[in-house]
Order: sequence, then structure tokens, then C-alpha cells
Amino acid sequence: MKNQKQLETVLYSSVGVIILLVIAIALNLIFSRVSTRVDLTADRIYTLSEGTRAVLGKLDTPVQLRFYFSQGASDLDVGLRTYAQRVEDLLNEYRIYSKGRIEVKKLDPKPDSDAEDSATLDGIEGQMAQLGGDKIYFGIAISCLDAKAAIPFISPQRERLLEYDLTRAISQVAKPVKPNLGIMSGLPVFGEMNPMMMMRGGGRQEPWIFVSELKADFNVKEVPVSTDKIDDDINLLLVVYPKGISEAAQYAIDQFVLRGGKLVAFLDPLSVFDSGNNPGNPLQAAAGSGASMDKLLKAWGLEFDINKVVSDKQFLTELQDPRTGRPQPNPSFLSLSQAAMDTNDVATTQLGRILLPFAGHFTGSPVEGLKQSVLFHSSKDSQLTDKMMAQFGATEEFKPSGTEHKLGVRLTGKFKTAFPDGKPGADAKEEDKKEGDEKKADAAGHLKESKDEGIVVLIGDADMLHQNFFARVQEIFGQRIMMPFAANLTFVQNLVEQMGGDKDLIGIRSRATLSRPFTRVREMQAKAELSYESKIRQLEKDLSDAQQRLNDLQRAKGEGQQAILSEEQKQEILQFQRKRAEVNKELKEVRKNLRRDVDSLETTAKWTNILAMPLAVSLAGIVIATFKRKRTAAQ
Amino acid sequence: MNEAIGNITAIAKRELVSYFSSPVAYVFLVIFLLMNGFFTFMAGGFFERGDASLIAFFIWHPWLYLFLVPAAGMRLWSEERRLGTMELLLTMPIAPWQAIVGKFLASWLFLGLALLLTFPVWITVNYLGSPDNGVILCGYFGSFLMAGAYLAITCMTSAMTRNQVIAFIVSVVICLFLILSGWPPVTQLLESLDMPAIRDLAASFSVMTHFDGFQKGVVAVRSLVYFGSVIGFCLFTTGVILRTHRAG
Repeated sequence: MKNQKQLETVLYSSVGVIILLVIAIALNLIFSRVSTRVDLTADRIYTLSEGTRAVLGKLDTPVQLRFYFSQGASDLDVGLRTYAQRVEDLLNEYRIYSKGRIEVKKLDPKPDSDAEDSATLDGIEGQMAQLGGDKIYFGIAISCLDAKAAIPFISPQRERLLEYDLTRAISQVAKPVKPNLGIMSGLPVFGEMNPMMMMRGGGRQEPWIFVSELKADFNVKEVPVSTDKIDDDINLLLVVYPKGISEAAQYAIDQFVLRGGKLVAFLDPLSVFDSGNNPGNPLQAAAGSGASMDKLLKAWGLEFDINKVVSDKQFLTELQDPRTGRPQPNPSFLSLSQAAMDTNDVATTQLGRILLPFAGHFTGSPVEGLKQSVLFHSSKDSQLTDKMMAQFGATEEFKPSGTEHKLGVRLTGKFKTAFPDGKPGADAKEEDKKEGDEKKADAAGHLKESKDEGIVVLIGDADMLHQNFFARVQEIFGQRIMMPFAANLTFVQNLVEQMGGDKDLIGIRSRATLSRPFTRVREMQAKAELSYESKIRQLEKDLSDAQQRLNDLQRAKGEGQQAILSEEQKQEILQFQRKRAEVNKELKEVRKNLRRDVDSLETTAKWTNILAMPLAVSLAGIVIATFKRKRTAAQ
Repeated sequence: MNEAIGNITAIAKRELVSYFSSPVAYVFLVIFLLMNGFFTFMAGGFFERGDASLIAFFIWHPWLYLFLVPAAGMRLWSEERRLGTMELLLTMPIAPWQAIVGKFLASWLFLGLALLLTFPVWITVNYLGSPDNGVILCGYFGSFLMAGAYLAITCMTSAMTRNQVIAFIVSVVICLFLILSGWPPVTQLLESLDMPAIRDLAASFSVMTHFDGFQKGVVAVRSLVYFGSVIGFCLFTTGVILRTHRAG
């Protein structure tokens, strides 16, 4: 009896507490290795996507992931440490789904350690968090046999794309064959010998920069526009401004898509690089410009109008007016921001702005068997302008169409041939078209529809590919150094990487962690801007008119008298100054009103949230107290 | 088993009634809600973020709970001891652990009610945009667990002393340590021990690390184990302390 009591006393004393503490700590230690978790996010952003699982399932050679993390660093940012834990969890998921094909090694590259040497060899860069502090390593090296790839520093800003980066690297090392990229172009993207330039001592034009950049990751082959077959070893074809493309060439592209090749076509109603047959006559050149692939588009259910350019008041670009030097908004030069793009597509997520000079749009709906996703579109504040008017900047009358014109689309699915009768111009005399010939045509390898899922991306502008529209290029010691100011090249690189690599990669959705704005607030802002816009424009016009009158007066005077102010001028100046002050004041009022509705919404929401419930609870408390007092009051 | 549950429920009810029969509960709720609202919308920059989520709301909870939960829980056992009702309670035909669990659950439910009453902010964010409600739900769940962990610690300190103020201060210190165990000042203190394993362990004990996962919409098993082990350990220790007092 006493012994049992003694046991209980011991158990429930400080000894017991210490024992339980040790158990609790041990439990936590054990479970820190366990990465099981339930992902409650709407987009399942913490679960591996199907594409990744498909890639992992296809692995047949072991892949090693080396995770370098300086977790011993004393001045490590807590946010980074927490992120590192999430990265480790993700790597663990990769290991679990790979059925043993993926091995994960965690290394801490302390100074002068083997791990540090290994990191350097793998190309993992250490970053210094503070000056003079230790280097912090936070990267992943991926290797399979002797192929290596690396994510040198896992930036928290790129958290959403971490899964994509990893899966792409794994895919690259597992199949390290550089894909073949064909470029068929109606513009001199490969550079050309221009006989006219030679006379001026110029000579050879350099290839466009995007071609040189793509050559770094792909075997780039030039495909002539007049071809009638795309070589079998080309996996991805870029078609740029296929002006006047022949039926034979369209047939070649058609068959290319059906056999599983991936196509990206840059069509354009108006290209500034198309000098056409009349280099000296821009008017005629513009009239004759425009490139599309009508037979193919028709078969896919789409249309591309080469006579109209999309002008947009929301996505316009401010260009320098050569006459006045002042910035002039040009709505036909589109500057697309993230708002215009599909944020869930890996090709367009996290892009900065894309510059599209004189872009056309796609209409129609895809035929059965094909799905369309819009990569980017105009705002509703857009209209279709005749391309001639657009080129000469005449956009006085602007009527918003209310439609978001499709500027770039992706088609996926099972494609059917656009040439049901087989190869065009295949020596078909009417009499020869008998049953025997049909068999021969099929025997010659004519595909009627694609075996697997095909992918075609159509963009409504070709000029975006030229460096003039996305980077400043400087020649330093014979090297072209490129400083980008727009994300055109990034977009093309994203697209090409995505399509040239594994098909599964395209399905990996970009993790939309951050793209949930206050839509109601945005709507209110847009509405307010619309209603005040005309007022603002009117006021600005008044101002510029007054300025103009002043300038006219100045010019009307004789040469020698311009320094002296005439009476008329003095009056005009006074009036102008008065007008300007008035206009500025009105403008300020209008701008203040723009935010008024939004501000009042915010204030209401703020105060309701802060005070409503506390008031309700206080009230409830008072009511209950009064009620109780009444009840317990002497009867 | 049923008897145990019955006992626990009875104790819990008793505790809850006692909470609401004094103005303490209402004052606490009002302050909790006011502070949540204030921090979310003023200091948290709810609108400035432009993001339809409750990050600005949840981010303050570890710090708000730091002071409010000990305030709500400090009277749990200290009061019984002060009033002398402790002996009465423990001589009732119930096991001490049932009393401990009952009181804990009552307070936890009370905190849960306080959390629930913040629902206007959820309505607001859904009105202004389309947030990820799964993430928000997960955040509320994690916040509730975190409150439970702080509360268990407070139970423990409250059982130690008759003086509520001491209970309050000690539990604030312990909770603070749990929050900061991943922070440089604390890890540097542990550097002197020259055992990196201990320091990493300390980091994994930080409430922030585990709550962070819930805020992001992930329910990690290891975080459930963490909160569960904190609550379990503290409640057990409460039992031990009470037993010691009873014996003495």
C-alpha cells in the first residue's frame, strides 16, 4: 500500500514533471522530421502539382538534390529560416513522390568545410546578409549522373515558382539533350546583308538579340519561309511575321503541329521593320504590311485581322514626341502590365511590363477538341484602329469598345489538319484524283490529326521581339551588353523554355499566392476614373489651347520684335496665367474626388470593424447585468 | 468514461458562468476586440497592403495573446486558492485532473468565443475582394491552438501562486520565451552553450514557426504535436503543483 503511494508521490512530483518534459521534447524532435501536412489553400499551393508528379513518375535514373542551407548562421533572418523549413518540406515531398528515384541531401556550408567546397563546385552562391557577416548559403543543386543544374539562391520573392524551377531542373538533368528550335521569319531576325546599307559603309545587320539569347539554351536552326516541310528533328518552331506565307509552308507547319511539334507564331498587322518592296515609301510599305497564317487559323477556329491595330487607353505607352520633345501618350503602343496577363500561366506570371507596338487581335472561338487560354488581353478601354491611322498617330476619336481584345492566346488539345485534301499543289490534276491517289497521299505521311495533345501559341505582334522595344543595347569591347526596360524577352524565354521542355511543365500552375487584390476597391477606382476622365481631358485641352494661343502670338510677330511684348501679348499672358491657375485648381479638385469614394469605403470599414463588436458586447453586458439585477432585486 | 465527461462538463459550466457573472469577461472581450481591430486596421496596414487576406489580422495574435491570455487565465487557480474554495473543489467526488481539464476547457472556450466575435473582419475582407477562405479558416484554427497553449502555461503559473499578478507576470515571461526562442537574442544566449543542436531545438520551439504554417493555410502534423505537447505538459504540471499544495 505504502509503496504504491510512494510511487504515485514520486510520479507526480518534480521527477515526473522532468520526465514528461523530456518526453515532450523528444516527441517534438521526432515529429520535426515528419513533414505530413494538410494543405487547406484554395489553390493547393503547398501540394505538388500534377505536372511535377508526372515528371517524377517518369524518372528512370536516380537524381540527387543537394540542399545547401547555412542554418548555423547566427544572424539568419527568421523569415528566411521559416521559408527554409518550407523548402525542406517541399524537397521531402519530391522524395516521397519519386518512389526512391530522388535522394535529398541537406548540407550546411560552414566556412572552410567540405560542404562549402561542394557548394562552390555546384555553383551555389553564398550571400552576405550583412557587411562583414558570414555568407549565407540557400540554394539547391540538382544532378543526375554527370548532368548538373542549380538554383544558386532560393529567393523568397520567387516562392511561387520554386516548384516550377525545381521540376524544370530535374527534367533538364534527367534528359540533358538540348532541344532543337526552328525559327521561320519574314523579318531579318538572323541579320542580313543589306546591299543598300553597304553603300553607306554599313553592311551586315546584326541578328536580333533574342536569337542570340535563345541560342544559349537551344540548337537554333533557321527555317526558310518558302519551305514545304519542317525537319523532323525540330521540336519547337517559332514563326515570326510570316508575311505572304505560301500554302505549302502553311501545310508544313500544319503537319509539324500534328506530329507533336510545338508552335509559337508571332503575327502582326503592322511591322515597323517591314520595309517591304518600297523602302523609301513608308505609306505604301504600311499599306502592304501585315502577316498572318489564314488557312491554319481558320482550321483552328480563329481569325486575325491584319488591317486593325488595338489601341488601349489603359495600357498605352508614353513616347517622346520628336517635334516637341514632350511625352505623348500613344494608345497604339501597348504597355501591358500584370493586369492584362494571365497570372496563372507560368509564361506570364511575375513578368514586368510587355511592350507591343501596333498589335493585332484574335477573334473567333476554337474548334471542337481545342481549348483556348488567353495569355494577355487589352483592357475594356480599348478600340480597334485602322492600321494606317494608327501608324500616323491619328487617334482623336476614341470610343471604348468595352471588349478585352485577345492579344496573345494559347491553344491546346487535339488538332486536326487544315488541309483535308492533303498536300496542296501536289500535282493534282482532276483526273488523277481517284481512290488510288488518296491512299498514296496518306502513305506519303500526311497526318489528319494529332496523336497527342498539341500546343500552339499565337501572339498578335512580331515587333516585340526586337531589342528596340525591350532593352538598351550598348557595344562594349565588341560585346553587346543588354539592359532590359521591358519584359518582352523574358516572356519569350519563359514561353520557349516551357514549351521546349517537358509538356508536363506547362501544366505546373504558377502559385497564385499574392494575386488577390481588393477587387471592389479596384472597380470603384476604375469607375471613378472613367467618369472623371473626360473632365480631366477637357481641362487639359483648355490649358494646351491657351498655351497654343500664346505661341501663335509670339510667332505672328516679326523677327526682330520677339523680345518686346506687345499689348496684346501682355493681355494674353495674363489671361493664360489666370486660366492656368483656374485649371490647376479644378484638376486638383477632380483628382481629390477620384479617391473620395474609395477613402470613404475604407474609413467606414475601418471604424465599423474596430467599434461595432466591442459596442455590441458592451451592450450585451449591460443588458445582461440589468436583467440579472432585476431578477435578483427584492420583489 | 461518461462520468468523467460529465464531471468535466459540470466544472466547465461552473467556470464559464463564473466568468460571465462578473464584468471581467465583458471587459476582456471588449478590449480583445478593440485591440484586434486597432492593430489590424491601423498598425497592420490592412488597406495599404491591397491584399485580400487576413495577414494584417493574424500577424498580431501571438503578441496580443501574450498579454490577454494570461490576463484571462491568471485567476483560474489563484482565485480558488485565495478564496479558499480550492479545498472544496478538490474534495468533491471528482478526480483532480477532471477539474483541471474542465477549467482549462472553459477558459479555452471563452477565448474561442472572443476569436469568433472577430467575424466582422472576415465579412469585410470577403466583401472587398475574394480571399482564400481556406487559409483564413486555417489561421483561425491555428490562432485558437496558440491561445490554448498560452492558456495552459497560464494555468500552470496560476496554480503555483495565490497572487494573480505573479501568475500573470510569470506566464507572460514563459510565453515570451516561447515566442522569441527562434530569435537572435535568444539563440545567441544559447550560443554560449556551444551546442548547435540545442539552439536548433530552441528555434523549433518557437510559437511563431508553428503559427506561421497555420497562417499560410497548412496544418502540419508537427505543429499539432507541438501545441498538443505544450498543453499536455502544462496541464500535467498543473496537476503536480496542485497535488503538492494539497499535500502541504
